[in-house]
Amino acid sequence: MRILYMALVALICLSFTASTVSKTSVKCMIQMKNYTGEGAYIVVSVTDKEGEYKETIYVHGKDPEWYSEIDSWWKFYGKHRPDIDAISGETIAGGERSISVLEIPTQYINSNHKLRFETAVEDQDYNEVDLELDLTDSNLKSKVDGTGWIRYVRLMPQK
Amino acid sequence: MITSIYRYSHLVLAAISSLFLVVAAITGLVLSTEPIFYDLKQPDKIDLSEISLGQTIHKLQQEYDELITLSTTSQGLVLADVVTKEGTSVTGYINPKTGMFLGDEITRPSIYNWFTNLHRSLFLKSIGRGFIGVSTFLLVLIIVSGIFLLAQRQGGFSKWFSSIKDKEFHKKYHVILSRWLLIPILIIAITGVYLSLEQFDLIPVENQSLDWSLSPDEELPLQTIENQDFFKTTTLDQVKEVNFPFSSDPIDYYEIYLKEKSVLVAQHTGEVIDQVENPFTALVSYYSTIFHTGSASPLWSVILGISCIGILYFIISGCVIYWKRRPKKNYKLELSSAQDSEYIVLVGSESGSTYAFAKAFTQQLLRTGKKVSLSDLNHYQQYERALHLIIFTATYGDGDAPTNARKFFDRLEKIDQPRSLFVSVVGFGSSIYPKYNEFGKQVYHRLVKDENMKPYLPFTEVDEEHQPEETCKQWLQLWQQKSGFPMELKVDQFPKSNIEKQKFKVTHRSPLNKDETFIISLQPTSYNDYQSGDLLEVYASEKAKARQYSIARIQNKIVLSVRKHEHGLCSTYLANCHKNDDIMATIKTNTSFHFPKDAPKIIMVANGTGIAPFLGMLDENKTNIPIDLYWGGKNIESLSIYGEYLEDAHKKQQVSNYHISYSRENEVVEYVQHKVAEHKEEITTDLQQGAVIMICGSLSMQNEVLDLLELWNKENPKIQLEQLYKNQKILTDCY
Repeated sequence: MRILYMALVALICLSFTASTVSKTSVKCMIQMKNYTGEGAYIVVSVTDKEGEYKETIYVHGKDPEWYSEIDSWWKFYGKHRPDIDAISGETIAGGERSISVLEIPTQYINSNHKLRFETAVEDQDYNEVDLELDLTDSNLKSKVDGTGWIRYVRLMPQK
Repeated sequence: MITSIYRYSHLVLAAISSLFLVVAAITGLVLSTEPIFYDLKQPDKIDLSEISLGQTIHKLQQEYDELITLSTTSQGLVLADVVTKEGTSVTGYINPKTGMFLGDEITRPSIYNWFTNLHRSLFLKSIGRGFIGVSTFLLVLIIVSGIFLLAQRQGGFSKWFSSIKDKEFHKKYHVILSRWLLIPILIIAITGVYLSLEQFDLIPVENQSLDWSLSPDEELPLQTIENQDFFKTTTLDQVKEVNFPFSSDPIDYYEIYLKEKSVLVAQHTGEVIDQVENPFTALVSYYSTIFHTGSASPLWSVILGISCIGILYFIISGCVIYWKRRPKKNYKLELSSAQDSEYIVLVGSESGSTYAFAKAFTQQLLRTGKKVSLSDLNHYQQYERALHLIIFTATYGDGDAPTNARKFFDRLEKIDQPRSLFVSVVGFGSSIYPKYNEFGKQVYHRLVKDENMKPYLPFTEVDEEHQPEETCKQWLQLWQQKSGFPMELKVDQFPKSNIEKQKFKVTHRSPLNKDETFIISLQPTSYNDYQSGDLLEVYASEKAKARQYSIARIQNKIVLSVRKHEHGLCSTYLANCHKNDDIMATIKTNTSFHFPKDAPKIIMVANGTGIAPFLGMLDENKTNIPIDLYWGGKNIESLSIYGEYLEDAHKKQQVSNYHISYSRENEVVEYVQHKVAEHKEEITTDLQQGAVIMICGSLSMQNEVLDLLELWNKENPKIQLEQLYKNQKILTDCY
């Protein structure tokens, strides 16, 4: 009886985690401004309306040596350092554009959360909020201009 | 002087950068395994030059829901970032022909990331990169100074690959390895410097970017991708990276990076919207990366790995060489001024050992409470109170004065001494050079010509090649006897012999035959580089004078043929040796009697034990150069102890003809020179055609053979005997 009960709890837990994992794929293109120097580190995160980090969505730049330079995010990520291998790519250099697929947990969409693009270039400026947008359906098929290293970001939900 | 500039800069640059270079070499060695690691784990390669980009994209469009990027790796594989029909986003290798997914991208093991960080920045970010960049540049300079240093010690660039005479292991291999590893290490260093410069934005880049604002031509017909010209003609091996259009909007273009250029292509028509040629610097950067990391070829990465080991070895052996050459440490001497001194010690020296001995001598004099001054020969002056003039001098080059003794003769002429002086002169030199101790001799003779100067001890020559300690000790003893001053020098204050006696183990000794002749084989117990024709100097005891024997090198052993003389100390000593006994000896290189491996033909003439080096040379005759061997002995038994070696050579066709003569076997006394005379025609023709004649054995035999050659030359001037001597076509080693 007890075993059955535990199995039931486990099943419920499992279904619960599965439901939280439900994600929306959004195609994302980042177009950089023209600048010289190293490729930019760009972190895409979900924050709540107070600006508290909820989840890391994508990291451009694979060299952990420099992560501490991405100041605000490092305070969030540096504490636990979850494995971000699957959601990291190359840095993006000045003038370049890069397309990637963002997997955003569906629960954050249309629920007062924001998508933040945070940028840093080795030995140059750091932008805590290079670009930010409300996570709404309409925003997920738009083009938004950046304020730092990013010229603009284009988003398009996957079919 | 020039040599010392190269040597000095070579040393200083290496000392400055060695710490960083050690780190870079060790980490580089680890990183060089990366391309091999990938090569083992990756799927098989497909020839990319046969597949068009259109073909691959067409297949991918069929296989996947969404295409993000496609790139080729430097290992020649195709990597794609796609979204599958199930809606998951994956990055991995694909088959460019079928579009099939072959496996996830191999993530770089974090250990390599760690080592890369250490390799290029020492975990110090930009500062570390600066250190490494500068060290790498210094490495380029080290190599360049090394090239000139090596050219100079080899006697010019034309002799770059001539053999290296050094006997010291580290010195020798520092040179040998550098001749080979020079090129890959130079490539590593130059590409490394380039990559560093690029890192710090010191390479001017004209970055022309693609113009996305251009509009496509709307008149052009729509075509599927495999029919579009651009995609049909572009093969995958030209492609570095493709970014697929963001959406199906006609103004979202394909962004394609080829090896030579970057292109924007309209997705529905295949129209080339804009293109930019890659700047030259991009090409240099591309090849620098490939050559520096070895990512394109596991074979090259192996060479890179070997070069890293080489760099480490150069640093270690360089330290050893420097340690052995470093100036010996100074101790303080309580010297008096030249005016006050009764004993004037003068030194002429290019190297440390003469000075060291002069200092030790001075120290001993000071202990007796005398007033002594010590200076260079160049500082020769009037001495008010001097009683003794003691001179220690080396000789420079071809009988010249050492640098600090050049003005001595001038000053000697100009300066008159107020008091008469006792004179002693000791010359230091090495008998490798023909005019060694010439300067010392001149100093002595010029001094004693002066009536004011009285010889105290006879002129003494110290030969670094031959028991220099002994000579110095004897001289000191004479001094002690005559002056009554005790002279107690420590062992390390005597000039060291260039030759260090080594142990050789006896591996075999044949019984003595009727001529009291035997064969003895020895195995060196430490590293030695020698060949047949070199000489082994054997010491029968600690004090005994060395005796020389010609070496035959047979199967990595030293083989000597020795005749026991009734009163011969050394030959008796060897005759009493047994297997596993140790003997003390040194190997003396004898370049003038080495196997002439470039000769078209060789004539070997020997009598008695003189055959020994030839036995080794026959064994060395791997290319089967025709060799005629003339040998003379007493009787058949004299020959039999060499039987096994000769048979072996005969079997391997390492000898063409034997001509044996016996002096006691038959009624007629026949010597080897008689046999040579019989073959006059043959030998003269051979010599005219470039053959080399080698003679080993007794001096009288050598002289008779050379007389024969002279006689033939008179009859037939075509032999050109003078020329033969000059071109080293006549080689002798007789005693």
